[in-house]
Amino acid sequence: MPNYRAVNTREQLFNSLVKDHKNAIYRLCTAYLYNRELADDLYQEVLIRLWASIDNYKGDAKWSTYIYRIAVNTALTFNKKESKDRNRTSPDGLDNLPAEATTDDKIVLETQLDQLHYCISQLEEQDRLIISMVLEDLSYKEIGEVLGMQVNHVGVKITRIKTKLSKLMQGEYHG
Amino acid sequence: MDEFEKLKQSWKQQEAPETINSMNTKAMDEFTKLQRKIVFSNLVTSVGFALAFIVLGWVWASFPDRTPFFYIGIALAYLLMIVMLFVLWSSVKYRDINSSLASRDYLQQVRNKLLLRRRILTTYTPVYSVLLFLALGCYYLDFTKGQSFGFIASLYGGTAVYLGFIWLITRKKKRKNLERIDTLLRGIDELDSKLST
Repeated sequence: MPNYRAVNTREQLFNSLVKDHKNAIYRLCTAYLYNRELADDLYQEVLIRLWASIDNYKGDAKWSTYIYRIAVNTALTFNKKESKDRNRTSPDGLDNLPAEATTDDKIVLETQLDQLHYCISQLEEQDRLIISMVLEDLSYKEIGEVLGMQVNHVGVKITRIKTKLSKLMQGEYHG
Repeated sequence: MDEFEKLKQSWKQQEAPETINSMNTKAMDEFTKLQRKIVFSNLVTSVGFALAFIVLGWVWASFPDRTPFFYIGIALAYLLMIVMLFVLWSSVKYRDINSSLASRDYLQQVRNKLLLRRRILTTYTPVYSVLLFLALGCYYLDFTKGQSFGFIASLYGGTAVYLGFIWLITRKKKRKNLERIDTLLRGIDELDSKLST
């Protein structure tokens, strides 16, 4: 775990937090909003909120939980301002894959991720956030802490979402 | 490895595009800009209020031995301005909602905030207008003693028409704001109930 106590200024702390969590935050944004432009706007809004809330951190949760809470809460209210039709438009292509992937690998991965993104976009909005945290390997306890839900309740919800996602993926592959 | 684990591995290979990294600084600048904008607008209002405070203070001190209406009118105007200033400056804190709470608590906080905004539009603003009218009315009572009916009627009528005009031109905006708040409230309630089931 990175030592954020070692940084001196608020700006340094912010930059190291962003450096360590930017990919996860960005993936959460793209899972929540299918439209890439809106996802970028959401990502920017999350960063503004993180910068504004950085001094409120009391140390009672891990930094990652703290950041996920900000990201999830920002997403929940951000989407209320946007038209649902705009959210459903297709992404502008997945150009954010690692550069070292070969062209064939890239195409396979792109297709798979495109399908995954599409299927996630078919889930309900709170489920999109939950599944993106599951995909990031957050434990049920951490997801519960982010959402303010009981661990067993989280478990039930995740099982339900996974089943739904798997059905959607099968429909995508074979339908 | 099961299918879901494979998906997880693929999912995690996505990285934030390089172009997006400049957003760190952009976020800090955006935040500072927003804060500055709110502070500047509040400062302008505060300067205006300070001038009104000075003028009212001067009126109070320069005209001794007036009727109680005179003092009640000015005191009420002072009180209204102080309350307004308090409300204005308390909103300086960005968005005023703690985004780092657990989502269900956060949604509750957003809900309370929206309900407060609704109450401001439906109750506090009309009460503020009535109190303002009363403050001015009280103040007028002091120096309209012995004046012609026409003068008194035009003074009160003019003030009422002015406040009515303000109400009229802001009515459409207020209705729109209320509709937006109600839509947001419905969305928040729906989300909260889905998170709890």
